[in-house]
Amino acid sequence: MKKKRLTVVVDKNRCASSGNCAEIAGVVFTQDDATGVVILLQEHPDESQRELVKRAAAVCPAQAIVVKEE
Amino acid sequence: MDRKSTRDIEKRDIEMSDRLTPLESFPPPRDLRRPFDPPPELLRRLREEPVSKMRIWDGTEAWLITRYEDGRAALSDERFSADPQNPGFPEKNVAYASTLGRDRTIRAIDNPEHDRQKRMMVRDFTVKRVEEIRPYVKTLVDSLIDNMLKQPQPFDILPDFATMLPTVVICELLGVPIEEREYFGKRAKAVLAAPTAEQATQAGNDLSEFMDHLIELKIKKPTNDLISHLVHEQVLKGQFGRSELISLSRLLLVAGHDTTAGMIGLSILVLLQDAKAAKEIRESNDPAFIRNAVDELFRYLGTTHAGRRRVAIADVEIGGKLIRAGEGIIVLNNLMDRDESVFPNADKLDFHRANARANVAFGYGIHQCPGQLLARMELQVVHSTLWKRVPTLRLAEPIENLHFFEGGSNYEVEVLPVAW
Repeated sequence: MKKKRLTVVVDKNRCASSGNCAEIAGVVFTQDDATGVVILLQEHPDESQRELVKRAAAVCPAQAIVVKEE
Repeated sequence: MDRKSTRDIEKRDIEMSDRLTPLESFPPPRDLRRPFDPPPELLRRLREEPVSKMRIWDGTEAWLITRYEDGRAALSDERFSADPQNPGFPEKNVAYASTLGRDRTIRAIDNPEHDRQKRMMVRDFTVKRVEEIRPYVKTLVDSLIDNMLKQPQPFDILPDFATMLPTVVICELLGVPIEEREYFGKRAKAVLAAPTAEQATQAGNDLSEFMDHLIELKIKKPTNDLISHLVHEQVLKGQFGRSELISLSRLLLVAGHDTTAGMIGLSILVLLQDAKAAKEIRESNDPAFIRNAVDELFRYLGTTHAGRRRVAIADVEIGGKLIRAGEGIIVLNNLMDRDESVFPNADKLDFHRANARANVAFGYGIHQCPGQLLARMELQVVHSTLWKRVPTLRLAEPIENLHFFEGGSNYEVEVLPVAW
């Protein structure tokens, strides 16, 4: 069965600048240098990022990351 | 029955149940044979009474939240406030109540003001900045080890290694002169854990004056550090008060070195007692393994045993219990990290644990420690260096002779004599 495509959504208003996502999945997330707020680098990351992106969403302390598989 | 008499009956019931089974005091005693575990009574509550009350230092009651999911739910619920000015807030001790608990800093305010202040100060704590500092920390660790190896044995590894490292790092970041470390180090301890309000207040005032003086210097002569940046980009432009900057920099100095120092000390001790784990770390050249090992050390030790303190500002149900507005909660991150439903064999230190990174040693929710990336990096450098450079490192006294302290935020060892 073909794996579902990943879609990542971040909520910059909720973001608490913890940097967890950028540390765990630096290909997909980074931080604004001045405010630490999340910047999404890839809205549809490839398969190699699936586990990392899910882990980043799971530990985000502000619950600002949603990962959809569609 | 009218409202008043219902309340009277409830009140009488509570008083009667108090007389029958007086509430135990937090924190309950530890099992001295298991110095790295939370107190047995708290582990029992995690299994049997995961949301239940204890009495705290000022005689009031607070709810303990021990399970992982309950704790995460509480710490991300805006109906629980981190602001100690709300009535019923369960402060950690008399020292906090007289100093850090009175500040309007990021640890003690709710949103939206919290995020505004956090976004202003976080620039030196981002992933990118922490990675830029890593080579400097490596050099520093090496030089502290060089110095240690020249000292007579047994050697207390706490002052000139475990404490010195995070102290030098936070001084560099903030722009605080390291020569003053004894002055602010003593006062930082008092602000966190002095036994009387007078002692804590005096230490807190000394630190505020110290910071005010430093800010004056940075106004005249800015340097490349956080306090200079905040002075010139925020305070002098009228976007942040000078007194707020004094409180914030005081908090960062205190929290920035003391907690990390405690964790470095306790994590060295646990590895001195666990030859297999120390060998694994010593023989690894894989940064991903070291990262996971350090995350597991944070999960297992999670040295902030005083928990995360909040007060309900509305009625909230957590884990099947109704917590009423005005009641305090203590979210015990060290118990959450022993929750078997999330971390199987939670009482075992396991560097191969797949979800060690999900630990909540740094808290959860918007108040998660902003220095966590920095602290974890420091621990990674310490453990990837120390055991290789000093492979014969050993505890110089039986562990039974060591003293542990938990009067402030941290659970830590007081003196740690080693030899090699």
